[in-house]
Amino acid sequence: MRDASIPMLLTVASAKLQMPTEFSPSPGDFWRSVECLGSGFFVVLMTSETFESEQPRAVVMCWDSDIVHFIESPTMAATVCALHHFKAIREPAGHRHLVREVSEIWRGVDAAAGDCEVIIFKTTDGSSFCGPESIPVPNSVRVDSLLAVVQVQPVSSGDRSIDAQRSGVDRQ
Amino acid sequence: MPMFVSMPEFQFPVPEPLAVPGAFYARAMAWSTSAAWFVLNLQSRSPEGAHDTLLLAWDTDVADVIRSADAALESLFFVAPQRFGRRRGWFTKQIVEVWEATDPSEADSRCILMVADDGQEHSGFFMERAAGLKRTRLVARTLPQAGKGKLHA
Repeated sequence: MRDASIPMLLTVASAKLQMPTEFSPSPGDFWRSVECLGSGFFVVLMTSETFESEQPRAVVMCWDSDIVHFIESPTMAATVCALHHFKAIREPAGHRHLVREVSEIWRGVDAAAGDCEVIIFKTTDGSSFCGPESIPVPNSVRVDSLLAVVQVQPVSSGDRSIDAQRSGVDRQ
Repeated sequence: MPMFVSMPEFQFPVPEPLAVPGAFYARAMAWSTSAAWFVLNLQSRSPEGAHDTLLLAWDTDVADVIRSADAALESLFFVAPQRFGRRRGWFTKQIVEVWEATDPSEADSRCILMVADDGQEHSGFFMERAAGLKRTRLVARTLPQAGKGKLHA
């Protein structure tokens, strides 16, 4: 099942890293490569009191509803420090890839789809999109409430993360 | 060690007859460290011209996958942590060339050098700007992109 239209991540057995138990306290497995099925995915940097450390964790997510779950779950109550959406656009004339930086997440309702809930992502360039495939927000969508503002995380004392160089495509 | 970490609660239940044998399907996956990682898009040279998007933990795997796949390098990004004064940010950059290289300051040890779309060279655990590396062999250049592969900030 590789030609799925459902956004998913796929890892195969040959990409699995066998880690000694003492180095893998979490119940998950470790992988050196992941295949993305679908044309788009999110990369979320977030903090949560349930993480082992105060450091933000990066998570690759295929579904917008999972991001909302991390934020709204009383257990996780995650704070999003950075949120990027990657999308491959393939057209007969050629292809291009977009990386969009999200600044706000909103909840809305689509009147043309039986008032179903829609998650809307506002980007730092002022545009908006919804869904993992990052479709333009339909006119039938009513934007209701602010779900989260992306909060760039202050660096704690003693933090040794790098001072990378800025360029024209850097993201904050 | 940079790795993707699967979380059992985010496993996607794919019926066994449809699944790739031994594969793990997921809706989400965590990243284990603060190191850079890579988003690689390949276009198959087969008549169908299939496209594949891979997330890779190691720069050496980027080069190995490009070399071994019967596919053209469509696009490549690295994703890395970044600091802005007292704040922590996030950093994505598009790569246009991948090279094998050596580092004269480290006894000519072998490494992977990536050239970004702004001409800057990057290498290492955090994909920091590289200086003084000696290019030894071109692994691949990206295909020209429609719309210049524009990144939206």
